[in-house]
Amino acid sequence: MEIISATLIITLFAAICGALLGYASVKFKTEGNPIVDQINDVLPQTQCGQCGHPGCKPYAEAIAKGEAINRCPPGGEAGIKALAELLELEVIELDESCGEETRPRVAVIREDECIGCTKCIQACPVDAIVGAAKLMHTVIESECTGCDLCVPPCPVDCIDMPFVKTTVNNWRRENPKLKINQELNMLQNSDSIITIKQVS
Amino acid sequence: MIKVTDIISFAKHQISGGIHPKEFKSISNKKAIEYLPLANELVIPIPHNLSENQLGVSVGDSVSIGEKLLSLGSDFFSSQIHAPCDGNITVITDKNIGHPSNLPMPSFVIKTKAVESPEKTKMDADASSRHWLNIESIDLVQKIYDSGIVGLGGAVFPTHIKLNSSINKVKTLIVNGMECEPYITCDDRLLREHSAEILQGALISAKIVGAESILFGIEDNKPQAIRSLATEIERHTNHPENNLFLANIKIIVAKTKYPSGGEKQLIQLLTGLEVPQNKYPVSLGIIVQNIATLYAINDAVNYGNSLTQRLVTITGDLVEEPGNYWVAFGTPLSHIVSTMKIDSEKVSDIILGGPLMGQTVTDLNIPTQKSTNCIIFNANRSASTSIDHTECIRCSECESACPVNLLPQQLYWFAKSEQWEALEQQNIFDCIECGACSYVCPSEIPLVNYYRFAKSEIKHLDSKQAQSEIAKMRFENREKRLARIKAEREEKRRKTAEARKLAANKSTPNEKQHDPDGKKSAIEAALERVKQKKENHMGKTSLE
Repeated sequence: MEIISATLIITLFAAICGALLGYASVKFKTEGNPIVDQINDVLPQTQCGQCGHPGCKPYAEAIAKGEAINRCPPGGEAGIKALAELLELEVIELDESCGEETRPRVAVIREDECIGCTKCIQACPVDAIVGAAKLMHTVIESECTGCDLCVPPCPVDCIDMPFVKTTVNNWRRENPKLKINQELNMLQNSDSIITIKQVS
Repeated sequence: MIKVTDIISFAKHQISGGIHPKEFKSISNKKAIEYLPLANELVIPIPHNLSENQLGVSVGDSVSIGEKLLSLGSDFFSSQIHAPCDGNITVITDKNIGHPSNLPMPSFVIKTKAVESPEKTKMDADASSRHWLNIESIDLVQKIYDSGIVGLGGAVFPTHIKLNSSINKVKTLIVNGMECEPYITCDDRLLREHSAEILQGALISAKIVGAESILFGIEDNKPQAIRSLATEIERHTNHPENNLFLANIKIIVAKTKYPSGGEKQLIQLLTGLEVPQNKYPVSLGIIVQNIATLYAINDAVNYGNSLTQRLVTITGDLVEEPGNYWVAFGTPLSHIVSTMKIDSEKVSDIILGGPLMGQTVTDLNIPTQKSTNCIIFNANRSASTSIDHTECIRCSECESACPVNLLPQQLYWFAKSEQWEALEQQNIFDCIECGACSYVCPSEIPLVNYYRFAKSEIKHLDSKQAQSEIAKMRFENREKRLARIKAEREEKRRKTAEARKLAANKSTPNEKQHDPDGKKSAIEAALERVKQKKENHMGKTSLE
């Protein structure tokens, strides 16, 4: 008798748990791959394709499948570090076949030369270029990721990629560590090396 | 009758940490306030958040003192700037205005017209006919907005916004007269010589926000200022006419200690309350105003004067006549150097503001601004600007000096190793950059520089993250749109194919049995189409 009741209780318990799990798997189903999303959040979203994939999300999917984490030049060293931390991998150097890490750039159309072919509009991965056929196009600078993809399709080469200008809004403070080294070097090159020794 | 002794009391509360640096205040607080002669050229920077069409004047225009240089329209979030003198706008160009980045900013350059004496231009302004007691709070705020008044304690937050967001929300107006940083004496001198005006300004502010009491917080190293203000308060309270609007007015004297003049520190000292993290004093029912701001409010409301000059302490061991001077905004440092007969060759550092929180500059073309309360010309480099430092010895002196109970030593290590998340967990954004930690550091580490760097990097990373979020969204929206267009096209093609099939089936219903796939009919239909096309073509060519 005891055996029967115990079996029944366990069976009932297992059935309830099973039902709960079944319900939870339907109710809280995760859409997409959460690891891909996490990787995608770390990537800079430049959508430049320098990694060989058509955008950041495809590269995130590739990384999730085991591709190297050092193929993103806009993310640079900091990006590789963040990815390594997320995926518990070793920090490696940037793959230079993909490109170099540069300061952020922005696309600028030389507007009098634009013929209105709409080719750059089609190439822009973030819809940051406005214009219509046979009418002048222009770049919405605040939305431009500086991915370079609009430059090759332009038949009249009227798109420049200058560095983003430093203004009061995006200016960053100098690292005091570097500043000290710089100033020391400057002083050491001049004749006042003795005074430094006295100071320190 | 209220006596002076009833007005003054001593602070019962304390702030944690703090330091007692040498004061150097006696250099400049002995001489009465004077006017600095007007410079030939004034440089007024244009706020960087404005667009070109918000400029109210253009090159070649002649302006008169107090004239608005911006046309802000309904933009209540910026603050007005005015011509500090009569003159002409000669050029609008990029000038070094002493921003810590050393980036030049677009500025008005005004060629001044010669004036006999600067005092005259200030005092001739017409007095308002209606007493401020009879004016609505909102109109008084508008008047303050029109006068371009900002917090003159150093933070230059627009006063109209502060007052407007505090209307009927505060019970106490705290007046900041601590002036705790070494060398600076402009608030001290202003209290000694203009306590009546300051009291008026305080009453106007209290009226606007509906405060029931006014607390003046002053450090005990300014006895003359306290006496002058107490006499004024006594006279005001005992005057029967003034009972129309009466707030409970007290002076609370605090022991001299740096940085008791920080907004949150002052509140803690006077009331014992701590402003919660990420909150403003208004959440405690308190508004804090600086002495100089109140003077400017009185000047604007009772005399209709815009903010075009401020009291600046000009001091340091190279200044022959150190003291406090009314200086028009935009006066270049070179003008001060020449009029004050400062030997510019001996100057190694010019400090704008105090030695602890101020900024060291080298360019003499930098103009004074609304935030410039003190200029120090010293022959010797101050300790805070020394370039080299030895390593941290973990003495934790900084920890006991920190007025906001942070762990400066931890912050330093994390900032040096660029661990931004750890820094945020250590509440780096609560740091008020007072410099007490750097001051006590035996290794002379410029700690505040590290914190400023870390804050700037964290802000940069945050904005980068926000930007990439936007880019991600735009990219995904574009992908969706392209997929939708593709699907629509596919759908259209499918529909036309179906329609064609249907049409073909209808036209040859008998053949359906022999042609179950519709292949035969499709071929026939295609042949028919080709035939028709040919005919059409022939018809066309014959027409031609």
